[in-house]
Amino acid sequence: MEETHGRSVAGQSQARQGTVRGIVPPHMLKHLAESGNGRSRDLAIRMLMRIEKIRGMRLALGEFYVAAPTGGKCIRVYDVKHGSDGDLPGELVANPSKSRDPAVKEAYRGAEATYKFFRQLYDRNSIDDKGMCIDSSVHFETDYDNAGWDGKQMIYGDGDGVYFNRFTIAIDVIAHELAHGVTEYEAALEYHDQPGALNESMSDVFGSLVKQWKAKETVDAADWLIGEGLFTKKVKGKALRSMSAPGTAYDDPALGKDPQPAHMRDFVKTREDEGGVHINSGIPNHAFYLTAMELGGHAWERAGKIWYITLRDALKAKASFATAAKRTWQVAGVLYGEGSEEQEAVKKGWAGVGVKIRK
Amino acid sequence: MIIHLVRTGGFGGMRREVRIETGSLPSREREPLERLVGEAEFFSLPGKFPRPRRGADYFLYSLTVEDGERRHTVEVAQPLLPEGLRPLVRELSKRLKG
Repeated sequence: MEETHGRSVAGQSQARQGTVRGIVPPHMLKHLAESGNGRSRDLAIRMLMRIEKIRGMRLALGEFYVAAPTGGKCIRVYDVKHGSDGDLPGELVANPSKSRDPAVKEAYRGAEATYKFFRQLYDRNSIDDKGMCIDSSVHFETDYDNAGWDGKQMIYGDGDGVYFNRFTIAIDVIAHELAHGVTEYEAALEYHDQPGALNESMSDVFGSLVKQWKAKETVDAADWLIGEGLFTKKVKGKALRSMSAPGTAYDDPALGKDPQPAHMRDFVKTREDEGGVHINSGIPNHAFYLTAMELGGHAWERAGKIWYITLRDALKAKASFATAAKRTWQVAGVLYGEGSEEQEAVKKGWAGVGVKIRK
Repeated sequence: MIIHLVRTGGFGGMRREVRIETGSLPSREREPLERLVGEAEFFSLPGKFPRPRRGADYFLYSLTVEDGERRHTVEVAQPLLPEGLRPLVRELSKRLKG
């Protein structure tokens, strides 16, 4: 299964028709999965998972297609000059990495770091894994307290200056938004209720991991906060969310208290926020944190890899927390072996938030 | 007229709201607000807009207006805000409280 550029690899047509079984013997795939490099390892993992009939695995077109190299990263920053949705993306900024406008520079550098993170650690080429340009617009509306992914690009507000600083100030916010794009191209988790909270959690996980990776932090050194630096000094709070202790990130007279639960028994039933997608994400966030702490070292190496492969290959759009737990556990088994330390850590992580893995 | 905006969602997932009884405002504040409600043709807007097909972290608005016998609520996500409603939402957003 040698990598070729711009052409299909052996087995592509059969794979698409779901008749993978028998092309490469499972023992060979297992060997590749354990000792292969880069793409061949990933391909072996994908085929193994299909053979093991993990229900819910995505049968994406192009799964076995190795795209022609795009000749490097493409990261663009636009200034929408306080315009709104209809004005996007705005005016392209030349040399954004050297801009004197901190929002432009941060948007560029955050996107670049996130691109490198996915490329170097998980062999992913940009948001769509086909090298698409990563576009961001800064100065969205006026005093805008938000950042977002609109399905095509990232958007950053300047903050109101009273409670919020500019939203590019925190690299995990940028990585969070970019990860929404990755999720949209992979599991495409629906943005409401439990799948929506998983979607949010995936963005927090990779948001935090990019920050940890940039700082070369081990799990013990990391702060596990999301959006540190976003609040002005006026606000009583460290950040928007905490993965290590959901529900404790802020408690402010004007903004209220961090509403995140850390356990299923505190799951919040609400119609607001598309069914609490930014609230109940505390539960899978904490499961990831517990898994990573159990494994120690650098969270992006094993826990992050398990979560990434699960997002890419093993989740469907309507996945629940219980399904995500089972899939991460299965992926850990495929990546590191049944009963491995990694698989046990995943099980412990989810157990710690009240989600049992049903085999 | 009573205007009540609740904003949820967004990156922070924070709930913030503002409730205004326009009758209690001086006329220089009341009139522009009531005019924006009129210009938005608020009472003719659908009550619930669809969820955006793509994207994440957008704000979600639930806007209720009571005017005499009439009462109407519009629920809509930021990217799908009708153009006519944007000036009113922008104005109310400046007054959001915790």
